[in-house]
Amino acid sequence: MKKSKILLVSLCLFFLAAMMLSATGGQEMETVTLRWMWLPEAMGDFENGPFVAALQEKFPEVNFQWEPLLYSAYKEKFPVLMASGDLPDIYRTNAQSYLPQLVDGNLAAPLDDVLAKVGKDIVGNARDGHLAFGQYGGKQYAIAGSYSLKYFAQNIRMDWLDNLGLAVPVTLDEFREVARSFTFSDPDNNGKDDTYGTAFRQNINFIDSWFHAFGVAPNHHQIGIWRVRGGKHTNDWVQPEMKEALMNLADMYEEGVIHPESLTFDWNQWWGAYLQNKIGMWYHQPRRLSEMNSSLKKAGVADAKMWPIAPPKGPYGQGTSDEGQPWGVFFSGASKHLEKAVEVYNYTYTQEFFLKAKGEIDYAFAPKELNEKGWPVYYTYEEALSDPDYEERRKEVLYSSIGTGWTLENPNMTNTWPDRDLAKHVYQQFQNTLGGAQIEGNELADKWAVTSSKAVPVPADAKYFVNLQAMFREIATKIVSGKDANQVWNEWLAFYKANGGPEIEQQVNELIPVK
Amino acid sequence: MSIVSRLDSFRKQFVKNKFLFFMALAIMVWYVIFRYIPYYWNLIAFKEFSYAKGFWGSPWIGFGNFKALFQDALFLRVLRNTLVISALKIGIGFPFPILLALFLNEVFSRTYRKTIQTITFIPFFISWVIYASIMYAILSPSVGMLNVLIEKLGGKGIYFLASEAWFRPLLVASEITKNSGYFAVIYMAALAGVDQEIYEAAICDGANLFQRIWHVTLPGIASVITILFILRLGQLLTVGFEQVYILYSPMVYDVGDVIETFNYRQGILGGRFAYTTAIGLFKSAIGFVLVLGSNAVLKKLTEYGLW
Repeated sequence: MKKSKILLVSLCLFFLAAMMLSATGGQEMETVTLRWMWLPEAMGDFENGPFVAALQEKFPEVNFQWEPLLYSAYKEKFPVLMASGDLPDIYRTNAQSYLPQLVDGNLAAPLDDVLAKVGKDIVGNARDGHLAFGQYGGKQYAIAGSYSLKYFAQNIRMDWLDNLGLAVPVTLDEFREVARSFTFSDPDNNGKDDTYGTAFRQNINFIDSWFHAFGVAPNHHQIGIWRVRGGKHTNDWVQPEMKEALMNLADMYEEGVIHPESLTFDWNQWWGAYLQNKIGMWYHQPRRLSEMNSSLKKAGVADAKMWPIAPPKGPYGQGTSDEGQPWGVFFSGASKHLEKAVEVYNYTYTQEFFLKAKGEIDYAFAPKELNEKGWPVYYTYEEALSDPDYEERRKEVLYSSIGTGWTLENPNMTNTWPDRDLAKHVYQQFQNTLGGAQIEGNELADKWAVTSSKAVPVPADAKYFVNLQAMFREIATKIVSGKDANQVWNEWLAFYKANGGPEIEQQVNELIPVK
Repeated sequence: MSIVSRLDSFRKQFVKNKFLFFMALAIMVWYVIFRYIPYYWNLIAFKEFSYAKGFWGSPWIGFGNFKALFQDALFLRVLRNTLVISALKIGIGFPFPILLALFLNEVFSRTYRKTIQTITFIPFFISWVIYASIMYAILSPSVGMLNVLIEKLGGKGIYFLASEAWFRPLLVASEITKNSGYFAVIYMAALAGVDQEIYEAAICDGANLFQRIWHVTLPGIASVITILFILRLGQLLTVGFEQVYILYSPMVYDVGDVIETFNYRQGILGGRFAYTTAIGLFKSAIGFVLVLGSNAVLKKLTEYGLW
């Protein structure tokens, strides 16, 4: 009797212990903490927004730790975060800038296997060719955003052309002639000599269309454009055509048709000069044309019409630069929950998430309301221009979304969605957000964009790129501002050769196949 | 005095001023945590830092980063620029607040003196960002007041901030106008301590204004001038990051890129932490030697020094 009692008590204790262990083990299995970093322009009430709510509803077992890093501090703080090795499970950064260091430091996890397992929506909905921007050494390390990389165009003040009775310029010479008229013939009829043909934005930035007329370009992020010449990847920075392009700009600068202060303009000064009705030609994104024109109109220029046109046709070509520096999402190499992190991120590409988040996913597009089916209806182009609530609403969406690769403008974005009617609705919504200038601009950008043949950095970039970039900026501005072009150019070639240029070229040609 | 009696004396002092000691202790703890312990991590300057291996695991390369430093063509240029700009700031900028203080000391009208002092002192409290905006407004080639004036007088406008010829003079001039008022206050405080009877005696002896300044005033504040000069020399390789960073552009890198801006680009933006720590150590070593050297030389020449 005594033995059986002991046995009974022992059995009870055993089952109790097993249940407790099982419960504890279960909890450990279920509770997962994921840190997520993105780069907002300003802090909003994201924790109470539909984006976060949708994620938390789907993944109750995940304890999300949100770690926004303000974009204004990103350039300084991100390298320090890298050095500390304390990167979150999911984080956003620039694939072009840091890929070698991230891979070298095991700060970015290889994703091929885990994408195959839990990332079918990411892969299925990726924009054509975009996954390549996150590849390094044959492995996938990042999910580049699916926004259009071909979104820069040459724009011109059509109202100024009309005022002066000029035709839309086509060739480089015609562009130069129009720039001259914009500068010296009072295109805005205000009786003052206060306008210019075009402008740089801080050194020689944001005028790539003029460079492409010479078959070279610095790229607006000044990371250089690479092209295949003679069966090899070559850097535009050191081609003789670059010297020609710089000398041509120097000539224009000397003549006064480029805003004289623009070599030192920061972003605000540059944008401000356009909004003050001072400059006639603008190299920028068509998606911002409505903002430009409505701002000019609000400032009293009733007939303002900045409009996209084909880039200047020059002696060696014609073109605009593509974004060249895609932003992407990485997953920490030290993450203990890589599969869960990718699964969560994959969810943001799904139809279910889109509906639960009420379409508040992409900062560039603000839903106005939900229709009778519960589908988001976005502000149309006309509504965005006239609705007084639009800007407030756009900011609300901008600051409450976490930043994913999702965007309305990606034609593949709904590939894996089961409800094809919803997919059509989403595509139609994107079309509704476009105005005439943007539609034309997007088509032109798509037609003329030149993509660098070097999509990702190479290991030698980590050592040499900063100095080479700084020196290129310096010699370019020196030549444009009138220094002896031959002497400066020869100094630049010598510097490039002695400071890692050939080493980078060698690695690019070894690591990136020539297509 | 034996060690035992010294300890006894210290104990008595400690008991008597225990609250002062505790207050000092807090400051010493701050220094240890934030100033001395971080010294250890300067060792990264002697390693080939790898993100994968971290601080502890990165391989030791001795003076490799320092060798790379002196093989870097851009570093040699920024070192030259730093020395030239610093020398100009010391040569022209250092005497300026002394002259201002001497001038204010001789002004009889209290209202006039206070007005000048306030006007020269206020810019010290304006950040370099605001100060640079004011400079842009004055120096802009298209709408700047100075260029408008030059063009009205028949001259050709000058793009001052993008001019290699003008950039260094502008750095020195802006430093003088921004900070002279502040340093003048220090010299004014020292001047207040000069015995008035010596002035009266000098006047009785027939000394004119300049003789009084030369023989009474300057010797009276020589110790303060010496100390500030030694400290300034210790900062020879520190030009002032904010000022240069806000005002410079690639057009003037050739004459305006300095160690601090170079370090920012290489380290913070480029992620070359070991290399830039080596630059920082090099700067500190030079500053340390200069403080020791100048202190020794000035002590021999003037009998004044830091210790």
